[in-house]
Amino acid sequence: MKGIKKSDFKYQACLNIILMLFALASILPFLLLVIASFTDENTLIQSGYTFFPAKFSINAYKYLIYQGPMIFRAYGITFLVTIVGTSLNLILTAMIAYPLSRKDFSKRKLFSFIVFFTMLFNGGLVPSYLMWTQFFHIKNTIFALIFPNLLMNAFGVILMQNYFSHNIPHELIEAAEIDGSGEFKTFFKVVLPLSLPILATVGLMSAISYWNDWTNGLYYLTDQSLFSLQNVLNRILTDLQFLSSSTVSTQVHMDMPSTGIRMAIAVVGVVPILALYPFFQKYFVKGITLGAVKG
Amino acid sequence: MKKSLRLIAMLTMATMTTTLLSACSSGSKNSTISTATSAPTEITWAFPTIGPVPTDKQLIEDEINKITIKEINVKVKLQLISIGNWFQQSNLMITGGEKLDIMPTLGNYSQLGSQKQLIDITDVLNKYGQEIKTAVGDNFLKGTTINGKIYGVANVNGKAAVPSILMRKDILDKYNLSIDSVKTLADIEKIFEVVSKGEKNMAMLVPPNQGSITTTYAGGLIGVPKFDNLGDNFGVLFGNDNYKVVDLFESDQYKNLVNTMRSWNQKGYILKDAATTTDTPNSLIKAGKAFGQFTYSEVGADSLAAKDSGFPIVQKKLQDSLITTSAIANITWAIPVTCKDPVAAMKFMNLMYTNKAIVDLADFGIEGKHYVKNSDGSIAFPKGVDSTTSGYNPGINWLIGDQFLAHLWQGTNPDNNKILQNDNKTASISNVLGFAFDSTKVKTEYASVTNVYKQYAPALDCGSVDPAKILPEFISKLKSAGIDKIIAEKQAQLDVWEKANKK
Amino acid sequence: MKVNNIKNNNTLTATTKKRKRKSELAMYLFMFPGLLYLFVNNYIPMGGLFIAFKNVDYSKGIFNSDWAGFENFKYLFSSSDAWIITRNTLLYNLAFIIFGTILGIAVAIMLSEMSSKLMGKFYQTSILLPQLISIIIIAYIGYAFLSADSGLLNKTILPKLGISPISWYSEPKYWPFILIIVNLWKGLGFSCIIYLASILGIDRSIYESAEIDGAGKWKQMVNITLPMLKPTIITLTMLAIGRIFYADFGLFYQVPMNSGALYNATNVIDTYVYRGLLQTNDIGMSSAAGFYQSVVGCVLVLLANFVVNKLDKENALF
Repeated sequence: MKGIKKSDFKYQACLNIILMLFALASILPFLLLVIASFTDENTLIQSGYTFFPAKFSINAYKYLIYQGPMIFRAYGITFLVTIVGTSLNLILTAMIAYPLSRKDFSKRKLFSFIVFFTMLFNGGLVPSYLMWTQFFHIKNTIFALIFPNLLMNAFGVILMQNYFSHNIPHELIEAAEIDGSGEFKTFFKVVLPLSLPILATVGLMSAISYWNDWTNGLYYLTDQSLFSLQNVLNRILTDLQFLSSSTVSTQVHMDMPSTGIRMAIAVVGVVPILALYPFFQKYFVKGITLGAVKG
Repeated sequence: MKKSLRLIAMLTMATMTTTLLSACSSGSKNSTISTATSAPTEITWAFPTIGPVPTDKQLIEDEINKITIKEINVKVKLQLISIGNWFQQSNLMITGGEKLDIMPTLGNYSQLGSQKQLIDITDVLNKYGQEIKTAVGDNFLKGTTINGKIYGVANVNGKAAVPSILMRKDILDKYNLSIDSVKTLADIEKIFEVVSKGEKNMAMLVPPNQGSITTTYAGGLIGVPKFDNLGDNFGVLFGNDNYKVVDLFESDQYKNLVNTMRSWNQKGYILKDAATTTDTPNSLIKAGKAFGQFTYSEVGADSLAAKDSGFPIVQKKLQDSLITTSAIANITWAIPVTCKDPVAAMKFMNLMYTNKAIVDLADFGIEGKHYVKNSDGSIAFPKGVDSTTSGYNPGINWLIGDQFLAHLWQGTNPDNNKILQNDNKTASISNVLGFAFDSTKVKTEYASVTNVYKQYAPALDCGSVDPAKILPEFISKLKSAGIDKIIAEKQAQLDVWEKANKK
Repeated sequence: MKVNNIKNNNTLTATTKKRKRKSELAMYLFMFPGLLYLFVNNYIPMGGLFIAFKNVDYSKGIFNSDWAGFENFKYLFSSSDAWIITRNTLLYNLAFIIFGTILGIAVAIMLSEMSSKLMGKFYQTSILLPQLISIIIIAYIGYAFLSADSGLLNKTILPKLGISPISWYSEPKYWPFILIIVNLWKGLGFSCIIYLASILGIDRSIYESAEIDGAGKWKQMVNITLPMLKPTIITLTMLAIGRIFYADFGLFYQVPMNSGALYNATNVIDTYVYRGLLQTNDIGMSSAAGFYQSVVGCVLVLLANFVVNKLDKENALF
């Protein structure tokens, strides 16, 4: 085989060190967040943020547990919306990206432009709101979290189109055609199986968008029982922002969530998707395994 | 092929948009016919809650309907929205023409009024809201009049708020100081000098709102007794004996104020993070990090602060009250353009200002379930219930109709209502009560000036920058953003108003 | 690696033509659901852009309000701030594009070279983490580091280095660096995945034959990986150019904690519009801002596409 073991080792060691630095840069701030969520409120205000607080407390999480039923429900809704939305997104995106990647499709450039144009021009909130609520009546339904904006977007289409046209050799498609396979069969039997990396990528992008989205809920849901996780968490944070900036607040007294609770909210919002992500990563394992074969 | 496709697309787009928008604009037509039939008219009553929408909302709605159906043949539907979402969602409801019949305005009354998002209720108020007019009083009605028309009615509560200072009583006692001697900023500084020497870890002043130490430039803080900010601080009235609109930020008084804040900041009296912290003053006090704060409020601010921070707090007003348009119009009840039956809505509004049961229901919930009466007449949570476990605790016992009708929560001074009502009656009234500036003609300058204001004012207010250098910069940027045009327009509108109102 | 699929004209038979027509029909069918969605979600609301030219009066309804000409656009150009916000928006986005691309590719290549599956998985998950945190929380994390009174830097790190505390939220000069770093930090996880997906699609045998020819790692990267990534890089850059007049509101509003003293370095078009309209909430003016941003982005991307078409026809977007 090629390559001396030693230089391989040095090479890998270098890679590991650099990547570890990046990983730490990503993890440590989050760790600070988690620690702050477990820090006693007064200590936090008095001594500031640190990795080694003087006093711990789980009060922040206690507050969230009181909102428990609402948060659990919101988790459920978010999972449902993310799974359904992402699945639909992948189907729509792949199906529209495929023709755009076929150089023998005569209207390819025209429709590429039609798709891309949506990234440039935006009608604004008001027309979209009027359309979705007055015409499609999605207000206060679960569809409000799925349909607007996130069901498919030009960015994903273009990524996929790119991948199809550069990574699926046309000879394969031709060969399938010669074998008598129709377009649909070719797509499902030949193209898609070879596109796992891009499907995983766009799927991940879509899942993250759905998971993180809070604007759809804000605009289209006044019924609290349909709030997604981000809506619930965000509502807590914006209630706070309102009180800290308004003249009305002088007359209000409530046990409002404080610094520690904001940190706890962040942790609650991230932990599930973080826990699940490694399982979805197996689609990338294929590529990483291939990488391991090198050198 | 390309051309015809585009044409079809455009036509379809145009048709759809037309249909949508005309469907919505028709929502602005009101019918003033109220049919007194057997079926009750349904209205949607929206207001914000502090915190999540309460779980027992339906129970409250049912109880309220028992009263309203009997009295005025109106069925009320409660639309409760968390305060953080309130502005966005109420706005969208109006824009989208959704059913919304009665709602409060929280600091955006004149903006909603000038954009015609609220309907003119002058006539229907006269016909069906006589008791509201009595409860609110002429002065307060004047405060929400725009160009002779009324679009909303102020809630009935203490309106004579003034700049005040809050301080921790236990610390004052520790150093043998008293808040009663405080009249001016210089007096406050004397107290700070003593306390800060002894309490090294404590900030003397913390911001009541993010980026704002003084919260308002009213009277006592800039040394002008009858100061009216004319709604937005862009062009104000110094004193109540003239109608000359001047630029607050070019005045000597403002200069003195920011210089004082600067010296206080350098002496370490002001919280270092004042410009950016989102910690509430009460949590800062609770943590032992704060000694006091300015606040713009009526009596009772000290007991509220004491309750939330856990320390005894005392309050001192820094000027005599002046009731201004912005004070009154800060919280109003209005009927948006989406209301189809203003008569029914007004009848219900009337109940809000006269029917104690409704106010108590909306404020506190159902007696026995959400609160119990104490022997002294005040109310408190029932045993085993607190603010996070209660099924109805919206925290809005300052909002609904006539608040003087409501129960008093345990721990509130029982004389509070008397004092507030008295203050309302005896406070001076601004000469220009009833003048509301319409910024539509200068909306370009307004947007630019707002940005400049937000860029410079908080830092100057917290004393975190050097006024000798920054204040001139602020003033010149305001000028280039067009503040003089705004002031000129305001003066013109004020002159017209003066002629029409001062006979 | 250009694919050649041009059929020889002489062999176009009737069946071939029929098959081609069937194929085209199938292509339309494929696209139909997606196009329908784009039409509903994106194209119909575009009709509402006329709001930018209206002085909205709710009593007349949006549709019947008076026309305002270009009145609603004036505030974007009139004050001295207009230059600052435009400059900020453009420069930040340029920096994001350049640094984001370089870093994304570098990390993607490194990940693809990892021999340990487990460690690769770990690094990738960690780097993705910031993408999952909402921007408001990132602002709080920033605050935990930069707070004048209680931040980690001022209280712990700077004293150890002997530097006196800095009032971070009052000094504009640090913020271009801070914002670029935060944006890279947040976006790296995802951008490197996109590049990684492309790299994984490269046929391994090419690398193997290059290695046989004696090419080292660096040469392999420059001569194989980068050229193979060229289409993706061009595509992503063009997409970013289309959005070059839009800024991430959360990044520029929340992370600086809305501190006025920093405006010269942090005010971009989106935050300027938000702040300016906070009092008046004029939907005509906010629609005008969106219109303006769209037009500029459109013009720039058409220009960029034109240039790319001249240089490298295959990789142009359309």
